[in-house]
Amino acid sequence: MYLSYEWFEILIYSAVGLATAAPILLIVLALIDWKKEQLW
Amino acid sequence: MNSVVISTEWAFTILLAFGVLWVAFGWWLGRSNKSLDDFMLAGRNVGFAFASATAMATWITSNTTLVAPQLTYQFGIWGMVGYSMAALGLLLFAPMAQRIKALMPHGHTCGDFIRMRYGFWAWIVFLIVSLFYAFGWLVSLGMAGGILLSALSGLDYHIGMTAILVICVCYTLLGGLKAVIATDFVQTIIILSGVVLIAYIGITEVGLDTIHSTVSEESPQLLNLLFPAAIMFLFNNVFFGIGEIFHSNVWWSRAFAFKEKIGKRAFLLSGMLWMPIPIVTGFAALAASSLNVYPPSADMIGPLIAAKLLGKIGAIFVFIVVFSALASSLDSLLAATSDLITKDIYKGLINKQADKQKLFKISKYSILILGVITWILCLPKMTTLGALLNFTGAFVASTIWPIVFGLYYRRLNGVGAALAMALGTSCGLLAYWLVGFYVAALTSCLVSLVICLFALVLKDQKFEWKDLQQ
Repeated sequence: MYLSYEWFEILIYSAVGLATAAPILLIVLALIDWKKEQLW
Repeated sequence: MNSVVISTEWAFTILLAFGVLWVAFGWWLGRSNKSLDDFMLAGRNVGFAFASATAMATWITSNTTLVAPQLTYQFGIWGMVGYSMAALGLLLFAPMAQRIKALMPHGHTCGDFIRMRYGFWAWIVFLIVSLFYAFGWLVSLGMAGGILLSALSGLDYHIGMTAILVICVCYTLLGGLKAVIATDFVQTIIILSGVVLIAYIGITEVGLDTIHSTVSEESPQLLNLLFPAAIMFLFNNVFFGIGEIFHSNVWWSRAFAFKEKIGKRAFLLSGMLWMPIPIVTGFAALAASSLNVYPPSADMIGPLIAAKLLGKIGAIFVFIVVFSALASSLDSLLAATSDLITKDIYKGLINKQADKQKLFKISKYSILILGVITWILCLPKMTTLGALLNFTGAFVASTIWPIVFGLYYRRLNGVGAALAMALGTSCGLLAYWLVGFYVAALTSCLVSLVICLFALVLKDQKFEWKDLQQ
């Protein structure tokens, strides 16, 4: 049983999409913590 | 193909620039470290954003950036998906982190927990397992530094490995866990931006359809969902990842260092954000045939593909990404292992009367000594990164059940826990040599579980949770 092109595409695009969102989310969270003076 | 894509001068310049930056940052953050808790546990007050980023950055290692493509090159789809399952370790550790902080609000290391929960002999077995793993990981990181530099710049393996170790030892020594966590945040952003950029260029330049069709024609087994060795690898990697996180002081020290009620959320988020990373870094290895890249050894596939895709400027970028991935794990491991040496070996076995000021000093000496030992062990490039890493799987997977039962059930006793770790490790090593690396952690974990269950049936102990508060 081999991975079809459709599933291969879904797998890669969802991984890349999530990885793209990750740094943005972390920066936003850090800004919120910084604003509340809760970084440390 | 010629793997050297940036000049030696460029490699030195990047190392020097980032070296100075991290060390200065470490020194700046370290100025506020007044006590042992400040140095070892960042004052036990780390917020959500830094907590999530440090958990994620530490788990994105050179192994994620170098071994994930290597495993994809060898095992195909299951190589990268199996590697991404290591995120389960972070996800499952989330509730444990909260329980650890609640049970031991004044704890320093995972060794503290094992000693108080199971007694002396289980603690000794655990320390052996834990230190063996720590050195295995440290050596694999040091070696990765050397391999990266030699693959990208032609610089001698020993020079690259030495430079990365010196930089990480310096800033960890100056800033303690605070420096480790703050640099981890910056390094996470660099790493994520880098791997995403490489993936986008890979998709644009080569195309997913070309990659899929070339692999289907030339190496169809890489797309085979029933590739037996690869499926074993997937399960093995799940237990390996869980074992690595559950037992290692790298993660326990974070559980102690995070603010009250932050640990659970931070580990959950970091696990979810980490899961796609091995797929993003690994899938490019499937483009090897399309790009006519044939690496001299499998663990060089990642840097070579990226360099081929991005050219000279891109190679500099790749260099920075992998260097950040290496540093973010190496610093954490240096800090956490030095805590184990300071609190468990020095305070626990050598000088029980040592006060906090003395331990503060010993902690710094330990980081330095660890750096030197790692450097010596990295001098001969003994094995491939993947092989070294998987060898330690037999050790760490044996600790999963003693840790889980120890945290949630009163009944498991010290003899059962010690036997579970010792016999689990021995059987895991036998499986490693007799069958293959892909069953070592699996075997170790299963044997350890059976022994824990026997121990639970044979002897009933009523451990008092309040004993852990001391």
